[in-house]
Amino acid sequence: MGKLRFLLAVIIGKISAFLLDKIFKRGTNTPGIIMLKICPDALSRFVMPKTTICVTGTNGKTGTSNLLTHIIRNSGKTVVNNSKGSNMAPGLASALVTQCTLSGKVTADVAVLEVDERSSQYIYTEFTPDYILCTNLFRDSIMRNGHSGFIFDKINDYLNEKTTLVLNGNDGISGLLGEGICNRVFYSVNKTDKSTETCVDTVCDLIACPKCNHKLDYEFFHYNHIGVPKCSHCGFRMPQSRFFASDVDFENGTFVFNGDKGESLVLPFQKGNFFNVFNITGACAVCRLMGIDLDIIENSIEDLSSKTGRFENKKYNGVEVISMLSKNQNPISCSQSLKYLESTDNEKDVVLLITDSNDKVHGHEDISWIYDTDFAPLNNENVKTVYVGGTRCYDVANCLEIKGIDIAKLVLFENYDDLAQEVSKKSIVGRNIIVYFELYATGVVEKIKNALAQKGDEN
Amino acid sequence: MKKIVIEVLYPEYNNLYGDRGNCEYLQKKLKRAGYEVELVETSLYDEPAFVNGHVDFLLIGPCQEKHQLIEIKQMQIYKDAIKLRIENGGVILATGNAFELFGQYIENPKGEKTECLGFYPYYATQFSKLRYNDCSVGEFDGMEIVGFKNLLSHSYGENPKPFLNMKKGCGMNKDSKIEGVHDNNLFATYHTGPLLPLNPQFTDYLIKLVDENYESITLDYEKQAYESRLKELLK
Repeated sequence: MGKLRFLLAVIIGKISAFLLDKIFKRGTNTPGIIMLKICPDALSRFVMPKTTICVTGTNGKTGTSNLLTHIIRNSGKTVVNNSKGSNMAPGLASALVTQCTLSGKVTADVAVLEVDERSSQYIYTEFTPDYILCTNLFRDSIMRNGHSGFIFDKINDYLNEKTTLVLNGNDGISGLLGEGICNRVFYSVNKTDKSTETCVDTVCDLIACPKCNHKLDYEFFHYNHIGVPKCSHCGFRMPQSRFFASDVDFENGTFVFNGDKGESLVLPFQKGNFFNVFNITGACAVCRLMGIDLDIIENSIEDLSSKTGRFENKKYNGVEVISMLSKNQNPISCSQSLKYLESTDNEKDVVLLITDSNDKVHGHEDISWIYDTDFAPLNNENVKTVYVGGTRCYDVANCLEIKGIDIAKLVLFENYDDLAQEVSKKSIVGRNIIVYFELYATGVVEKIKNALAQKGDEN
Repeated sequence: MKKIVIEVLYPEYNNLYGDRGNCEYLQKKLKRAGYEVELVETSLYDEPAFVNGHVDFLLIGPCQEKHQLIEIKQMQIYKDAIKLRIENGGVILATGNAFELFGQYIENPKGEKTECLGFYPYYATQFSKLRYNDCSVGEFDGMEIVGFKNLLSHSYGENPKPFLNMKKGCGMNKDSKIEGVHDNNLFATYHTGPLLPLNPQFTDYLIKLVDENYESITLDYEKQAYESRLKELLK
């Protein structure tokens, strides 16, 4: 009965995936949703490829899994991945159904699957990945993720001894996953010119020793709690890293990847995006464990280095608009993208669309996270005006004032249309407009761009 | 210039949901009104400043459930000092699951009980995988207090000295309409995060408990944020 049900799910999944691809020209989760309706344990019935890699963690999942897919494909293997769909069970089913036989045997050589941290229990119970790479664990959206300990347990409780965990040796939270359960391999990044002795960010999610609860020391910090923790009370330290990045050169955007057999490679990373070093190092670690040659890795990373995915920019009659996604309710993501304001010298206006623009549908937003966000870059003298949009603009303004941001720069708009008109009206040729927007606010970014384009037409 | 001392207990743990906002806002309000502010942050194995010294505001925020059980053991050492502080009218603001510390015990999902300070008859039960989110409004002394809840536990049993009568959202558990503890100047509530900046009026009320001559300077933003939230939540 189960087999028949699965066969039906695969057939209907394949047909719906084909039709949706023809109609919408893009991937969706619908085939997976239908499949799981017909056959709730469909994920466990696929015959998974020889190598299955899951990528999870708070930040850097997508970047790391795309990188992994790219390198593995360059090594001549075929890869199935869920980059077009969601990172939850339906997204994984949608991806797998497009590359499997009617009996459910996945035809690709390797599966690289991005997995939402909270979905662990619906995924790792259905099949056992050969590798799980966890990028890091941080505080994230409060309403969805609670706290990092809650997410840690959600992953840890569903790990299987047959999985090899590839963990960030600079993260004293996710680095404790799988202790006593799995084989664990660590990767890390050595001290850089930008490492600090104390944590300079608002949030540090690991202040006390995870073993003895006394105050933890750090040899240095990369950012937030990512660094080298050590406990002078009980002697706790992170395990030795088999793979590590050294000689990070921020000016030229290069670093050295070091493997466990003494091999090393000079690799490029996206300038100004230090997280990219962690993503590349993690991805390379998995590739080396899979036995992929160094020169294949080297060539793959090199042809990616010219691409930047962090933000979009477009010019409207001499006004450059740079829009950056600020992950919803994620104080770490928002703080990191605000740091961009300090990296360039030109004058700019900033638009903050960081609170839920779709709260009419989602319900009243818990804005607690803004108090965990570093807004200090807004005080940079090159930032001339700070527009704050949305129903929660007064909360953001209140928080900015409390955190010592110059409120003379603030302009608030509950209504996004009014905001777009004002931003356009007050725009100055040569001055950039930097828009920080949450996932649902892409429409508002368009409004601003349209208003600017219209202004150009009128002139 | 009058000096005000704020003590934050165990900031390495008790800061999950933007709770630093309470301390930041309190400091801002006090400084705006011309006070000098001293901030004391006490780690888990250090003796709290209020035990043998003068502290105007004692703030205790929410922490992860496993850390809560460790904290209670430390707080038991200072049980008498905490009781004395409540009796003498010292201000304590306990937010999130810190409310549970003052009750009888906390039961974890395995059924194991950890004894709490035992000042009030209620007890708490931790959920295993469930999480409870809420945006709520409660009434205290003619004020409407707005806030957020992010909980992996609820409380049950008698609660003779509640802080809030809930107008929207749940109380100490889903079936309860009362929430928190108000005893002398102890204010314990399940609300997490930046409770004070969300409620400028209540913040002024707390400061007046420490200095009755305090005159508040409130910005438009604070009022607008509060009023817009209250209106939406009571809609």
